[in-house]
Formats: sequence, C-alpha cells, structure tokens
Amino acid sequence: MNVSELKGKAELGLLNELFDREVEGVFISDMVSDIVAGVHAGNLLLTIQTHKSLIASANLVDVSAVVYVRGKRPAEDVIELANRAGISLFTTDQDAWKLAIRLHGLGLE
Amino acid sequence: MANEACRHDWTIVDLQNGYLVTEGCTRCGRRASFFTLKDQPHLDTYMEGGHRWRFLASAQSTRFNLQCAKCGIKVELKNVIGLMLCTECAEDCDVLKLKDESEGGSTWIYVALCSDPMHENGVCVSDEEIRVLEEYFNGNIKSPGKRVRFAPCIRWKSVDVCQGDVIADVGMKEIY
Repeated sequence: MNVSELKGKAELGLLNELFDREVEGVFISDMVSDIVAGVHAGNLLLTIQTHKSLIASANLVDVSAVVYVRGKRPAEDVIELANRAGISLFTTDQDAWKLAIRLHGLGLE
Repeated sequence: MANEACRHDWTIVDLQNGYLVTEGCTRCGRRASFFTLKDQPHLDTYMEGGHRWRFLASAQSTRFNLQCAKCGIKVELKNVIGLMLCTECAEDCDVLKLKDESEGGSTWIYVALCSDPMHENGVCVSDEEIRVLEEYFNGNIKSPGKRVRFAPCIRWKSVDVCQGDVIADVGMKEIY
C-alpha cells in the first residue's frame, strides 16, 4: 500500500506535500533513540512527538511517512524539514492504539 | 578492524538506552559530553584537574555497536556518543565538503559526535566508525537516490556556531 492510498483509507490529514512512497509496516514510538534503532525503511511512524529531532531520525532510517496521533501538529520548521526530506506528515485525532488496529485491518503489519 | 573480504551486513548490537549529558567548565569554557546509563547527572559543580565542571544539558539517547551478520566481525562505536543532522548552517564548514564529494541524488549529512566537542586532544570518531555507520544506514535505505554521509565532529567549524539537530529525546516533558 502506498501513502496516498493510506491517507484516504485511514482518514489522515495531510500537513505538508504528499510524497507517495510505499508503506511497508508500522512502527509506534515517541523516542527518537528508539526510532533510530528499531524502525525499518519504509515503515509508517506513529508518534506524538512533534519536535525537529524526530524528522532528523526518521530521515536517517528512511521512514515512508509520519502520522502524529491525538491531533498533534508540528511547527513550521519541522514541516519544512520534512518537505526537504521527502517525508509526508499526517495528523489524526485517533490515538495510536485505535489507528494501529485500523492499519492492521488494512493489511499493514 | 573489519574483514575487507566480506560484503558486510551490519546489524545493531549492544544497544544501550541512556543519557547524553553535556557539561561546561566555568573556568575555561571547555565543553564535554558523555553517555551514561544513570538518569541522575551531576547537578553540583565538581573539580577535575584544572576544570570546574558544571551540568549544562541532558537528553535521553541511545548507544550501540554494529556487527556483521555474515562474518561476525563487530565494530565498537566507542567514540560515538551521538548523531546529529547537519543543517548546513555555515558555508565554510568542512563538514559541507561531504556534499561536494557526493555524486548527484539526495545526500544528507550527519555528524557523529564524540565526547570532546572542542577536540583539545585531537581525538574524534575514527574513520572506521564513520565507514560502518555509512554502510549500515545506507544499506537500509530504500528511497531511490537517497544517501547519508557521516562526518566526525572534528570537521565542524565550531561547536559554538553549529546549528545541527542532535538525535536525542529533547522536550519529552513538553509533549502535553
């Protein structure tokens, strides 16, 4: 499944440019140290952390996109960095648990 | 020293979750950083040789080594205490030369941080540590044309002007 498909099926709000990459799995974490060591390239990252360091780590491990759960939204400089890195940012009012169930139902592991 | 005959498949081993602590000398202005597993940094100033160290900052961070899944060789990243995304803040910074050396595509520069950001003893992250970091992270990238390069922090212009984004868990209490 790619990012644009996921946007519609999971009802995610796009916060920046759409970079339509393939999504290969899901990773949930709020710690960048955990992300660097645990994410696989192509993973969709679910988080509540909106600081810039998260994008620096997400870019290093080549995530497909980031979803800010529980309505979180990053600052403009974070969005700008994500655009440069080719990482789509989404927001949703759903919490990580409910969104994870939904993503699993869509076939993501 | 890594086995040159093997096309390594690096994996993270010896993962430690701890804290990246930065201290400063109130006498000479020198800065020093270290990785610790203790969640209680020295909040009191203390003397060490001619230095009077004072706590400046702490953030949760991760430390790891890399081991080849094929040949078993392990490279200890003993000089690496953190990683930082270069934001290309100064055109005359030596770190940016990595960008010039890169051929096309999308190249991102990360700085591997050592414990002595002012490099008074001339020691920093080794060439081998830089090489395996690049091999590991580039080996996992799937985006076409994307590449990451690493520079040891001894190549930066100055710790005082550098504006990179350190990969550490800052602002954990500001989520809500």
